[in-house]
Amino acid sequence: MPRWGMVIDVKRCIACWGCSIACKEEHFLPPNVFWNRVLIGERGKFPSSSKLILPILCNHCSDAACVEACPTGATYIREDGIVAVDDEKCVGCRACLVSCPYQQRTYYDNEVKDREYFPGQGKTELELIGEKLYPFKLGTVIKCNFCTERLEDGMKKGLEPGVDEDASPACVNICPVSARVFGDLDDPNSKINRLIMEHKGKQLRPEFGTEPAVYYID
Amino acid sequence: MTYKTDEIWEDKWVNTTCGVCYCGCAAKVRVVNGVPVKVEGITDSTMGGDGAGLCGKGTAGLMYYHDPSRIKKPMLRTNPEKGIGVDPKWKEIEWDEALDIISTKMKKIMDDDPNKILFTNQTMRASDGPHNHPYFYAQAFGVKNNGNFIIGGGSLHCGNACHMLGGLIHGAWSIAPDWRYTKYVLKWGSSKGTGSGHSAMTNARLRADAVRRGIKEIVFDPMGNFAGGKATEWVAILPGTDTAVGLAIANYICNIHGEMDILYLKAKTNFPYLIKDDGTYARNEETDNPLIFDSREGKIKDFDDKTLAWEDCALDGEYEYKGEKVRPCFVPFKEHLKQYTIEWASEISTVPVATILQVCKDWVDNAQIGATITLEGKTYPYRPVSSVTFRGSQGHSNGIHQVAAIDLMSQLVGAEDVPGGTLGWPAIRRAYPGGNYEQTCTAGKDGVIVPSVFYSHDPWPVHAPSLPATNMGCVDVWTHCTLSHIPYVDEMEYIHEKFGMKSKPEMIFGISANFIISNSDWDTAIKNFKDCFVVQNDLWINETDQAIGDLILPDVSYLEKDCWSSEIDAFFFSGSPSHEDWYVHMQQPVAKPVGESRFFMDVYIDVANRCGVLDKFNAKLNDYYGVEDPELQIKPGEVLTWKEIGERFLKWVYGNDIEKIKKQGYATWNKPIEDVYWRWDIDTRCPVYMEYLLHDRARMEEIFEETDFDVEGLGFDLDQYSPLPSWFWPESHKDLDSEFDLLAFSYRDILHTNNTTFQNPYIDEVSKMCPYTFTITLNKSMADERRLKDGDIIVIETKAGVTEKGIVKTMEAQSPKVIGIAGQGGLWADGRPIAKGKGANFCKLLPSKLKYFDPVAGNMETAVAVKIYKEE
Repeated sequence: MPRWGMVIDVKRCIACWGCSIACKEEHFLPPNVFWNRVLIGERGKFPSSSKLILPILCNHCSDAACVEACPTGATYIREDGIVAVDDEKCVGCRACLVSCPYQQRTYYDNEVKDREYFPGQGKTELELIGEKLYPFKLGTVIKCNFCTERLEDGMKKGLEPGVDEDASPACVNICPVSARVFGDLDDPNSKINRLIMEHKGKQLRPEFGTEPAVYYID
Repeated sequence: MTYKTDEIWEDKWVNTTCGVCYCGCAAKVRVVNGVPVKVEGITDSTMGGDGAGLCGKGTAGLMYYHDPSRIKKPMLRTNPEKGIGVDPKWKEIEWDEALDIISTKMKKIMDDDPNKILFTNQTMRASDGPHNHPYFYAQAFGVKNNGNFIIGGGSLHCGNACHMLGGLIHGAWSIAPDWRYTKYVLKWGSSKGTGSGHSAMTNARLRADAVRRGIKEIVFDPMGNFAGGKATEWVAILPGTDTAVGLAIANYICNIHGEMDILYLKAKTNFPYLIKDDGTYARNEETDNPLIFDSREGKIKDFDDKTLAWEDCALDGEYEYKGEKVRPCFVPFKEHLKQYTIEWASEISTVPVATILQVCKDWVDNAQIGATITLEGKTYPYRPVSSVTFRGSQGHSNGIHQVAAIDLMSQLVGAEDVPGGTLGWPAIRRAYPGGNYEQTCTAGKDGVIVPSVFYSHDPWPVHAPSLPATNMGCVDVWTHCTLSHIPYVDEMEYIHEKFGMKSKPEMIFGISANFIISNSDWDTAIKNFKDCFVVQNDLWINETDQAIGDLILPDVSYLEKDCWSSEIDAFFFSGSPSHEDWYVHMQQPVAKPVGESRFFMDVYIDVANRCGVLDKFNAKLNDYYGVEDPELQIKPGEVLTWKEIGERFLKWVYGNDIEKIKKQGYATWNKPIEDVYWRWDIDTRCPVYMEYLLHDRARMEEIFEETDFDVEGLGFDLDQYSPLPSWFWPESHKDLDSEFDLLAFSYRDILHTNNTTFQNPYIDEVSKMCPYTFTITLNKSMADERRLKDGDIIVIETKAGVTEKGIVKTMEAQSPKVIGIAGQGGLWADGRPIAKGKGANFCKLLPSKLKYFDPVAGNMETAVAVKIYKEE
């Protein structure tokens, strides 16, 4: 069984937000809900300052704080390493929201559900069909799932995650500069492991001890 | 999560072309039950490469279809009063009535003078493409030249000087580094490869590979954001001072370091051409050719004399021709550069001496003069250095000299259209195998390249300025303007009167341009255009429509458009500058038109038919594509839709493969390496010494004298008509004083295409995630000194008394002497509620007086002296 992970090449990334928006389209996310964000900052002082670009998403940690915090077992780690939420078990206590050091979770309630992309002008056909194609359960917590459906559907067709578009996460496919690479962290010969080795890949805030499956190279 | 499949009767992907900016990337759209729900790149297309991605704004394009604010029927103004803040009192009318109003007005004006109709085009709109056809549509009505196209018009969005020299040097609309083989890139006020410019994502993909390969990229820019923030080194520079650094680097190469690509200079530039004391070429009286001294035979010959070997073209010395003293123009050129020292450039630009010196050294080291590379069995000079610019640095009143200076360092080391150097993309457009429509450049007068296809008018041969002016842009006089600036100039009426322009505009017929708020001073724009009957094809009622629009026609977005033609001609917007296969994508409709919206090309055809000029337009189309097959030509009297025209023309362009191509939505075919690295195969010379400007100057002086034109009063700087790239202070710097002590500048944000994207809710959300997009950026220390902090509301005020408000965001990576504003916010149209109130508007701050425009290329000075203060 693989353990899915991702490498984000910050050197290649130009902060176009393709990942953020493609993710929203893939999962029909309501306004102001993001499973993929790009944070912008700066390092250093003028004139030798430099721009910081940090694309972030759920780290699918192998020692996940959210899993520990969940009182019902709704948040769990799948065999393939994906941190998932079972919305049948989720009671909406939001302990996971507070515990996630990467702020990657959203509580889906009526306020979120009722948001309109064009406020006051009603929901568009896109939003309405999205509620049918990709329904969320009210009163539960939602988050990035590494596009589980794409992965599973793709693998059923014999496709390889990280190689074939139809078996890879939407944010990986959309990236115009191929800054995102998806693959199996347990396979020492996988492209992502080679990139992590070659460019000394780093996890985000390793001091939290959560063992993220998302690595950054620069 | 589960998909509820029982309610889904359709779930398909349609290949099309992104229409969110002019780059036209390969895009496919998922359509469920007739509703477009997702946009992705096309995996198999050469365009997207291995990644096949799309940028954020392209991905967000979906919302153009879903926007409830889109107009669904033609909208007619019923309030005759115009202006900002005036309710147009729109009334919905039927299409037939709308088209009748338009054609009746047009016919009446045409009987008088067709030049009184302004046809506008806009390359950065939501309903992108086709690009070139509106130009000859106007010609079908009898409009002369390109002067009636008011698009960006030399403004903030236009690259007049870049295009002028792109055409003259590379035979191409634009330039890019040869990412695949370069080692050292200098970018000047340009974000090529980091999100802006032509073929933006193609360049971004190629750049990403280059960066991973380890190239060095030095970015000269007032801010370290999109381009500078990704550079190996960002160098803070004051806007409009790139010329100074460029000339200092050229001086270093020429006069201090001394090693140049001499064979290139002899063979590929006009530097050996002999000039007289007055600076003009000595010419053979019989052939009218410029002359070169053959150092082997000791004889003066025509530049194209077959007995003249490249290595024998003299670059120095003094000779006599027909009793007159002559010398190669390289002699005074080299001498002229001596005044531009690194210390001098540092003082003007604020770039430290040590930085300039290091760049000089790295440039010549990396240029590898003398090195060669063998690619596909062919050996080329290998010059892995590239110096590129675009909108930022050339958008100044000294724009032509900015671009010339930035190009000069590449000339001196022979890094033009060879592996590793700067590439024009492309100079050539090959026909599809088994199909037709091929465009190749040729060698023109004096050995200068004539581009294969250019957007407006050919930059070569230069047309002498002449009177009377026949159109609003007066391009008869300003012959180098790719697109004219005169329609935005405050003194337009005076200029028209002096130059005998009798065709006072009465009507505008155009495509979703927002020219009132997106060029310069809003009041001047309203003054110059408000008396026209303004018809626009648009998705929404934008600010221009609300202020001065009379009749707004609902256009389709790119998602509803059947546009076979987008990139066939405008290959310079979308093609790869690198050695990658040719590709052309088509726009195929993904969904049904929203409301009663109609594709503007079909509206154009309908109007042309009603005005009795459709046969003329169709004949121009036949001619443009060179359709020789009588079966495929449009015949007199035929009325075809744009799609029906495509059915025929695509057969001509793609031959028997047409069905396959239509099915996949794009064509791709082999690009031979010679089409990329053509410099030594096409016998042309770069007019680095801009001799033609001396003749233009003489003619301009005559025109000014003849018309008693107030040259001094209007601040028209004739000295810029100089053959030598030289330093001229940008007008904005001249306005600086102790009160107006900062230069405001603007930059292109990766998320925004002018202001159309401000109405997209996906883009709006992520814009808020970026700290800079909707704010005004100030250097942190400078802000501290002025007791300003993040979140403060400040007022920006110009010397002309124009003000704009915005939210402060401090950043380290910005020159302390400038303030930065992205895109074109500060919007107020009621028809675009998402856009309304977002960001700040930079354009309104730019003064529209003639002196703020580059006297040669017509670029607007896109920096402005301002003062800032906290809102009380």
